[in-house]
Amino acid sequence: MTGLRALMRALGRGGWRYGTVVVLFFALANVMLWRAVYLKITERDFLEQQGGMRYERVQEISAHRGQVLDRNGEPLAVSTPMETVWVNPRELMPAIDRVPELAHALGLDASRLRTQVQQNAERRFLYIKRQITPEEGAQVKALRIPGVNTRREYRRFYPTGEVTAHILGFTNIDDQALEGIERTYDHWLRGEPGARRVIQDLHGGVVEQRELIREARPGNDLVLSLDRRLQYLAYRELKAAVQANKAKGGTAVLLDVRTGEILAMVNQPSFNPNDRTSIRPDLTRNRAVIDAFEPGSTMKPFSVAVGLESGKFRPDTPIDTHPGFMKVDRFTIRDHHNYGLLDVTGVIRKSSNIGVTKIAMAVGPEALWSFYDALGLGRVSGTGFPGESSGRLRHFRDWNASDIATHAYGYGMSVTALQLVRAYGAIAHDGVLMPVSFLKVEQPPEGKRVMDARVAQALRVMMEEVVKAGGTGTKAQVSGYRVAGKTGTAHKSEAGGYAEDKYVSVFAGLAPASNPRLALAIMIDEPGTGVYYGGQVAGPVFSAIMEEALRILNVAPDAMGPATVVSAPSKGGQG
Amino acid sequence: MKLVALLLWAGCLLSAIGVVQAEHRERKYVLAQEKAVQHRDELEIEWERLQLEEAALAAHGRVDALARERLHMGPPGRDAVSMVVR
Repeated sequence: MTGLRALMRALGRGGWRYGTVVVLFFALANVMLWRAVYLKITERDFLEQQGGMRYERVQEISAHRGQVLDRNGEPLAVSTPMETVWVNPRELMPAIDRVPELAHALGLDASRLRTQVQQNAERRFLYIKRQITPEEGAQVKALRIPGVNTRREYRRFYPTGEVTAHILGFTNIDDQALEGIERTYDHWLRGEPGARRVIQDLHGGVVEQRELIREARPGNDLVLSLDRRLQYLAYRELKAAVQANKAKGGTAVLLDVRTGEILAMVNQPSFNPNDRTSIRPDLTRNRAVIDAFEPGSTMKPFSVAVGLESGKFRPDTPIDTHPGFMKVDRFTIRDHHNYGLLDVTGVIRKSSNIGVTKIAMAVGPEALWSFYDALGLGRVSGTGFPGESSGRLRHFRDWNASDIATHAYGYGMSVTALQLVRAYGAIAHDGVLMPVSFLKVEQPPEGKRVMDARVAQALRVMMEEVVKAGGTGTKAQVSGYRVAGKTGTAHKSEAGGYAEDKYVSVFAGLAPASNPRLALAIMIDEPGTGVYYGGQVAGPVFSAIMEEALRILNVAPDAMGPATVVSAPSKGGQG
Repeated sequence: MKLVALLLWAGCLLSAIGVVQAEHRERKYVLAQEKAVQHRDELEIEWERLQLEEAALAAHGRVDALARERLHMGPPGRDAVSMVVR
């Protein structure tokens, strides 16, 4: 206690003035010490918090949504950074005179913006304009108007527009996935925004990073099985056909039969996902997986397959379809003509309802149902696509005598275009049904054998007859390639029965028939020109898409004719 | 005794200067990082734009139309193709 001793000494000497000064200094020092202790220890938390509020900010670190790419790495959905302008009206109110500057920079009406700000004067957050270009955003920032802020947002852009709209789906303005692949794989594509605490200077610039609260995690890219080229091509041809036939809609699905990958899937009508005003529920539906239709005669190869599998029929087994109609229960089943005596191949070629009915009756409902069931009809395909329809396949125990007939030629049941093309894929893939995939497949998955390889081969030979002269699908021919397929024309079912004048025209097939690579299903909904047969309406679309798809994929032609075949030079030679 | 106190005092001073310097350096780095992030963002924007541009220019339909119209190309007819068999 030197102070005290000095004091005593000073007092002892009698210098009271000196003593007073010492006492005062001593007291002052103590006051300051006490204050320091108070601020630094007792009030510390409160003060630091208050200080922090003045210069610390929690900033969001925006994270990018992953891209969607086609199988060759071409972008199908890309998130581009945009700036969103928002204001804090409380901070802006004192500088309300500068609102016209802001309005000018953003191309907004100045007086309206002003009233908007004034009406929300008590609030702290107000969107002014969302998703403007970064250049515009920089201009706004350069104005340095108090209370005006910008925020980084990402806008989803779909370079292929309406061509891939149904598959990809879309996101809303807040980058939340609403439909399609965007929704199915949202957890994979979505980025997790991060956050950090920073010290800002007067101009809002970051001086110091205090703490990283959360690391931003950008979304992952997704590689689809689609091929953009085939997608374009299919879209073009389908759109042209729907217009030419004055149809209500249409669908085309192209499948790689070896891997089960969906190479192209297009629908009509479509919409532009980049323009939110064009998004209407009736346009955004991915008909290929959501709408089920009665497949009609395109089911006939499968009922014939059951016949072949049973061993009771061979491609040349004769079937008498005379006299062109037949009574089952209370119903009369008809063919277009009286085809008389046909063999099983002829039943397919002529698309005879009576022929397949006789085959189905010979094998029985259980065998027919089991086969359809094994083909995945009446079940969702497991792609996880939002809203996927399972189609409808009633259990054979609920069938009556006429149901076995109708199921044999594709009535009384419904399938999606995806289910149909997948089932045709099984014929193409020597009887193995592959799981379908919207994603690129590196290693072909294990398929499920649903019919004997020889049965599948025999079916392909029979289905080749369909597109040859005398068949119902000659317009589906592809020059240079052998094609196997089947036409289908179904009355549309409406409440209370079948519509007399509304049809669904279908063609499903595969190529090249000698060594199939692709399966393609075309469905045209309600053609309106009076022509409605599947072979005439859907057949040409099949031909156009298949021909170019085979060329794009560089598939070797199997019907070139012997004269044009040149043998390769021996390996030792040049070239 | 005195020497120890002096050394401690000097050490204290040095460490204080060090703290200030470290703080200063940190702020400088943060600034640099901030700039780098901004630069990265700009590059990202440009990359995305270029990708979209490329996608638009290389669109199958466009290439097809250009090949047909400007270069007068077309798929070879059936007679013009010879199959090479290995």
